[in-house]
Amino acid sequence: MRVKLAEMMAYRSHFILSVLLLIVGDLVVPLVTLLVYRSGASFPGWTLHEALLVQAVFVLAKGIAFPFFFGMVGTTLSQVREGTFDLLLLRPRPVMFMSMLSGFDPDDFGRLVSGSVLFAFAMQGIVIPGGAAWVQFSLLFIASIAILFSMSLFLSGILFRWVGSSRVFDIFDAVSGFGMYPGTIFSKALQNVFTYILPIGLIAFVPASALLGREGWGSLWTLASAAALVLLGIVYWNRMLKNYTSAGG
Amino acid sequence: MNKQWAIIRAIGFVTYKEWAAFRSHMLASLFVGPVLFLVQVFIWQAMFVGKETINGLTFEQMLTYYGVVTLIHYITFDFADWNLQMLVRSGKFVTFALRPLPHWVFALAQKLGHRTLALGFEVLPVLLLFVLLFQVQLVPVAPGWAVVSILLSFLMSFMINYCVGLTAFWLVRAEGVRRVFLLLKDVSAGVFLPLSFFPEVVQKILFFLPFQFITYLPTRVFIGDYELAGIRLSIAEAVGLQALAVAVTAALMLLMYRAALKRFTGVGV
Amino acid sequence: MIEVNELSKKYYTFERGHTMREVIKTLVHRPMKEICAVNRISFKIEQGEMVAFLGPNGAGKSTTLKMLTGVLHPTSGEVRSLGLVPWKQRREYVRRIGAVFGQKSQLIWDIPPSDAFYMNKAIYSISDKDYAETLDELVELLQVGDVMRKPTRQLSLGERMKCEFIMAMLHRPELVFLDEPTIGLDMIAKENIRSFIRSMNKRKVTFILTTHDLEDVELLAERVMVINHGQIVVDDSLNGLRNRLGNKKSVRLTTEQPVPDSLPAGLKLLERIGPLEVELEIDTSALALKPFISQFNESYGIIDMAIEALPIEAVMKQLYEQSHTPVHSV
Repeated sequence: MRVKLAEMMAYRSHFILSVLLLIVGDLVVPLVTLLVYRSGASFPGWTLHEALLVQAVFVLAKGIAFPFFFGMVGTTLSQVREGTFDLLLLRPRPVMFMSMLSGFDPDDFGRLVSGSVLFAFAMQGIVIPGGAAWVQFSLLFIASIAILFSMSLFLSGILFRWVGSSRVFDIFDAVSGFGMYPGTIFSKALQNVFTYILPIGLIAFVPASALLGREGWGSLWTLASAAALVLLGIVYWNRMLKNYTSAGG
Repeated sequence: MNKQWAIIRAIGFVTYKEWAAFRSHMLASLFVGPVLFLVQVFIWQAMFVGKETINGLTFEQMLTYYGVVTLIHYITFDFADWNLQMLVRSGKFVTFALRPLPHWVFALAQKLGHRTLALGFEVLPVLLLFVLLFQVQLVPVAPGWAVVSILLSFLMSFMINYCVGLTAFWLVRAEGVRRVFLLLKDVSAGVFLPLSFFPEVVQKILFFLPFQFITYLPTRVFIGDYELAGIRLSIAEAVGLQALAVAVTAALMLLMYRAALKRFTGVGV
Repeated sequence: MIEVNELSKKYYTFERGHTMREVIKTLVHRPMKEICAVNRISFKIEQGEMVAFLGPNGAGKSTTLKMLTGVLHPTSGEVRSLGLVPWKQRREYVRRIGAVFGQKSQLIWDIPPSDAFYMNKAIYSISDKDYAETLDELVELLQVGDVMRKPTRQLSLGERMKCEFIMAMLHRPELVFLDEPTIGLDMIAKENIRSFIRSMNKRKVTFILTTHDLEDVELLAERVMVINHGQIVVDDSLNGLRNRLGNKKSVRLTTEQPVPDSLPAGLKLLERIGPLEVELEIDTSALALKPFISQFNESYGIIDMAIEALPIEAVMKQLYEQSHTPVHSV
């Protein structure tokens, strides 16, 4: 990690650029939302600021989860393809930890900038919630990050078998599309799927709703399901790793 | 002419074979395309509650818009920019300078081969899913013009990406800038939202940029009416304008290619 | 066939800092540095020759080679090769030359070399008949019959290099440039490649190669040009190069008594291998072998000894370290 930071300092201009790229990239969906609202349309029951709050929470969660966890998707992608992943196996540390470490990407902290700006903007149009809402939000935000962590594990795990396919990023982008909008726009069946089975709604929609005072304490059960998902992710990842090593790379 | 065609066919064929091994990567589009589309379906379903049209488009037209955008994306997709900058950065471009064929011809032939493969593994299956599963209206108003327009879009997207790749001859380590540019390209092409949603001033600027000719214009041609920045064009006029833009961009690309080669042979990048 | 006259290449590079302060400074004023990669070199090469460019890293070999292939413009000077000016008539010129860059592959990673050959057939517009004939011949010479139908990524480095040669020779070039053609290969693969080059050379194909591998030079080149600091330091036959050493030989001795540091005229201590083992250089014109042996046997007691001609490495080392003054053979 220290090496990565030193590297980052050496290529400051590169760092600034890639942060800029991430910020621009994160702002595309909010921009589209803004333009649609400007044209007079809206998500029923959601003001512009409320809708943007969902997207702000999404970006903030990425800003914390991506630098630490998501980089491992990229490292397994390239290292398994080039056959250099085996080098990680030689280190006297847990392989998962090592592959997270080698994927650590400080650039992704840049998303915290775009997330904060977006968050501040959204909060301007929202009645400032009470302490209880903030406590709920904070706890749900942890669940959100845990879910992004487990998604990193699943995507990274796939790459042990589906060698070198950068399409996993497209898959993530497509699926996470469901999480960037107020969950109420989806059909009842899909809403259930995104809450209980493939909990994409927990990444941003549920925490944002809590902040808007629309969720009761009951929503905190999601902490348990997030933990379960992380556990499942770890088991899956290790199984894929085992398959990979026993197949001889 | 015959010889040129034989060259393009041979390179295209080899590229087809090269990528055939990665069919499963292409098949991922069968999941990614429809999922992204499904998100749009729900977004617009919600937006259209109690409304007949938004920005002059009906719900059905809006779905057609995103459906066509997705298909055009799979028909015209390439990574000419990434390929070229990789050749420049690794120094492998020299092996192309040593062959009696301009690299851009090579790259275009590669794209043809790559997209021919995609036709079977990406475009057709996604098209079928759209029509059968989502019941999107995907019959162009004027099929002949739509085909011409999509072919022009194919060239346009290649030339713009190739020009982005050419910048590597001057800016070797500017992958970040190139990616920002390509993202803005998609926004300005109307991939995320029809350009008619943008503020008036922005629309006027976008009208004169080359990006609308990749996605927005062909999609509107497909739907059957074109409007941007308050300018309405008939289908024939729109395709004519697109052809003109393609010709201008081609000239620019060739000039830039020549300059890049001059730099390559001068400095040896 | 090739005539090079006063060829020079200068580069200008910006000095760029690493810290933020230096970077900002260079935005205002960018100090330029001139680098003279090749400095007024002249030579002639006839058809059917096999010439090796030798020199330390950064000496100007690759720059010279790039100018001869037409992918680099010189700053000044002239080249006429195959009756053309390479960088001015590049498209026409590259059709008639071939090139193999040891570290820059023309093959395509995920598909068999045979498919890549087929692509070059189209690019060079080779007729079906010529293609079949040439391919058969090259495949026979290099013995890559089954290999070329396997995906490139599954091939060994040696097999890949053989296919690189086919790729570069399909259009029957009269002149072939090789940049480190045997780099990283094992002994057997090296030998295969070298014998292929020799047999093509017998068919009047001219070869120009750069290499760091002195064995390449000994086994291939009739003529050697040593380039250092952008200039041709030596242009000579291999034997000529050897003769530059005069009558020097290397002697390895194991003695009963240690050999001292100070030695009589005609002797030079090259290396002290052990307390009782040394390597010496002897100039037999100053000190004949017979008196040397008897003297040493008396003084230190010879237990074991080996005498060899100085290897070509020694010649090169001397030349690389030499000052800039060019030495031309007469």
